[in-house]
Amino acid sequence: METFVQILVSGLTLGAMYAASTIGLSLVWGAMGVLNMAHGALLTIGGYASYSAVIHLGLPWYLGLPAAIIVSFIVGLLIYHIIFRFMYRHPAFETNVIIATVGLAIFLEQVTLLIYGAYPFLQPFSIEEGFFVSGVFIRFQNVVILVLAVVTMLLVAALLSRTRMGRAIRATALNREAAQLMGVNVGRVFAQVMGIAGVVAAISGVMLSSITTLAPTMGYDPMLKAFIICVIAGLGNVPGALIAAFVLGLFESVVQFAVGVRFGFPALLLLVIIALIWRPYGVFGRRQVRRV
Amino acid sequence: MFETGPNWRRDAAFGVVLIAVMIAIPFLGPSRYFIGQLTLFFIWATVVSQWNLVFGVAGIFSLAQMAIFAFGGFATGMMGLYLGISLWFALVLAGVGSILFSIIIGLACLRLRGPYVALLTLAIAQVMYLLIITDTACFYMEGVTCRNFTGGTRGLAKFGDFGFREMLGRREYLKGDYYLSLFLLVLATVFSFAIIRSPLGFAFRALRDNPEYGVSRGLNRFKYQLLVFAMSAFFTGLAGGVFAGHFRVIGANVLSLPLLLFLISMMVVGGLGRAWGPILGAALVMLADEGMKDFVEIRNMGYGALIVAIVVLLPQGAAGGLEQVWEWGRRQVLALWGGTGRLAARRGAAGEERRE
Amino acid sequence: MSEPLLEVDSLDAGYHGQRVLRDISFGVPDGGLITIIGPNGHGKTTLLRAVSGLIHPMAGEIRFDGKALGRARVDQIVARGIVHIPQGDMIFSEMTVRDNLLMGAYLPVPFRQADANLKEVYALLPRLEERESQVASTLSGGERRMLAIGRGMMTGGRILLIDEPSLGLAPIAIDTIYGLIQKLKEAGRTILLVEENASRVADLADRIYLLDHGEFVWQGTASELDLHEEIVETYLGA
Repeated sequence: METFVQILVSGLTLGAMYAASTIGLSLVWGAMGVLNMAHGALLTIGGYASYSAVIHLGLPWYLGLPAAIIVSFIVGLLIYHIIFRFMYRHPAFETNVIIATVGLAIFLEQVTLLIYGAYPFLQPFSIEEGFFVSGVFIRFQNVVILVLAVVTMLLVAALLSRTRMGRAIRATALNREAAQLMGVNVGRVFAQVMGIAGVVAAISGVMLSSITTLAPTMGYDPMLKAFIICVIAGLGNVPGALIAAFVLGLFESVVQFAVGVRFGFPALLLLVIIALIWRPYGVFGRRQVRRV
Repeated sequence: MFETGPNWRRDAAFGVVLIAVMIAIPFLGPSRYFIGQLTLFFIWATVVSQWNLVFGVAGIFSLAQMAIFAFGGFATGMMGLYLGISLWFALVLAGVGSILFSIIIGLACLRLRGPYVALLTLAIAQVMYLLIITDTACFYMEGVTCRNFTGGTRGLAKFGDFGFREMLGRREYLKGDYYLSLFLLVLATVFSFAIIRSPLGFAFRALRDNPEYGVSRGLNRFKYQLLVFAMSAFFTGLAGGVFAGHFRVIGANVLSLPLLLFLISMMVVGGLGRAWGPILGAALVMLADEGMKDFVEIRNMGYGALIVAIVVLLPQGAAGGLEQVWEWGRRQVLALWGGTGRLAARRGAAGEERRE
Repeated sequence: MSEPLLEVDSLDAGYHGQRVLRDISFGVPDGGLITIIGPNGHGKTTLLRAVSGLIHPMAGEIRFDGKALGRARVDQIVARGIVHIPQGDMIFSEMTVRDNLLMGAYLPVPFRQADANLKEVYALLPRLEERESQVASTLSGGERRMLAIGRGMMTGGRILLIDEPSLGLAPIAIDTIYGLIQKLKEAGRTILLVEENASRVADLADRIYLLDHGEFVWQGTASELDLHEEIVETYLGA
């Protein structure tokens, strides 16, 4: 029973964080056809922004998250305005942008390293207290993470389905040219998408660093897992990505308990490779789920 | 846009001159450091030339290049260490092993659409990295020290080298590695030119520019991609083995992201899919690297910024830029000759429009 | 009708440096219905794409309401009131019928009148109201075409550019679509209509232009078209 509760808690926490990391990635792919290799760097920036707001600016700990959201939002917009804006009309955009964002990822990682060094700081946006369930200590932080992830997802879903901006994002994803003919300024939609991706990345960056530590490379690993989740769900498929995130989070924590921590990721990857040989377009993916 | 048939004389002449210069360099009494850096240049240029085939020509968004390189290096080292066989023999076996390794990756990835391939291959490399650096189990004992199967965080060592030390002596042995890696680069480059200029190269361009056309002509993209992926893995694996033998150590750091970026920047600077791109790109980036040696902290930052700048400002790469300058220069010269000049100018103009 | 609402003046346009259209000039008067007919692949769609800004002219000028469009972006051109209803199924297939229509009212001005416009569209096309919450990809071919036109109406634009509305539809669906276009004309909408075949449009059009190999080879009214049987035979094979 104790083991079960432990696995469940850690699996749900992992799943929530993966889900939050995945939404941004999936959204950016779906709307723009950009495989954003710098998504992990956005997570990292969010995590450190929260740290700086509390430690350097002296804000109360709970303002760390809003500060992170603002900073990552701005960085997301900047990425569009400095890089993507000049690229998206080029026919080889989908290839070139992968390379450009790999470069950007390293650049941002190095900037973080230069500013903060490699010392593993603790995330101040964190609650140490907790409670017991069947003899297992559960930090409030895990609950916060789960709630935050679910709320974020619901908000993004509502934004996409209910608002004028969300409709334009979906329309652009489905048919860029037709969206333009409705008067949509595709460049502005791309900027909005990068902004949203920044906000969501900040939330997952703060959550992630609150149960591990801050490090300039901390975004890389969750980004790879978010990639894997996208691959399973079919890129651009947000609801599928959420289901996959929780399933894989639970699967990983089972493997970690049963076989050993270091085999969590390899087992995930193996599962994904098998799944892909079975369904080359993703488990829930339809053929047209790409940038149509 | 691509150099084709008639340029092969130019390429061959250029290649022969380049090889002659490279063969001559060790006789001019350069420093050991210079020889070492050139050796490394040959190795990286080999890797990039093969990656360029996969990524730039065959259109496979593979980021597994360093995983294959690492496979070749570790396979060579492990066979040397655990089986006690000659590193030469181990190298050839590792090259063949790399083909098999890449076929497994290829079967899992190549039916997927482009970006999925990038995701999955990057994940494969990262899993290899994690498995190596978290390897703490004792595989054998060396006195009282515990040694891991993969070498763990310390890297795999003590598997020997290619025997140039005994053959050429302590002072000259580097030249053995130098010529070995030069030989490898020449082989790999000839192979990549052969692919780029062959009907297969044209077929890939046709597939990339117009997938429907390829399908209608009955071109089996998957089969050809797997073929190129496996063949290029052979040279990449060999490069990994030569790297391991040259440094007498191989570790998980060859799978690190900054190194991957370093090599991508070579490919991008050179120009994706261009025959001379890898050599030009590797040379330029390594020169830039020399220049940035005193600024270690901002070096990787520099690469990051460089890549972004090149992709945004010069999507054709340096080789593409040179090609344009070359065409422009030829047009200017031909224009002086009147009638033929107009024809050439029109051809050039048509070329420019296609680039858009 | 001294000054046409849309005026195309010596237009050259095409793709990748290849001219598809040469020296095209015509005007669409306010409230009029102008039709361009001609075989497929001879530049009809290219012409509409040039007007809506999806491609930029290589030479010549397009004026709307007396002002040149220049190199304005597509969304800016839409905002000025030019609505391009593209060929085939360019609807948002994974969105509901209602969301598709609301996308038509994306720009701020029509967005404020979205409810009223929606009522108007539903009144003309009750089938769309029945299928309001259905995903667009589940509609039949004729319904999709209705949706595309309805979505164009939602933009509240001053001129509709309609590209081959009958393409690939069954005869009954074509009747419905042309009934709709007739109603739009009667309601005073300005329309530039492109079709391969003259038979459907002849009765509606104020003026007909025949486009062949990127140039206008004939123009006139429907009654004049009847007098030129050799044109009908040569170009339209009817």
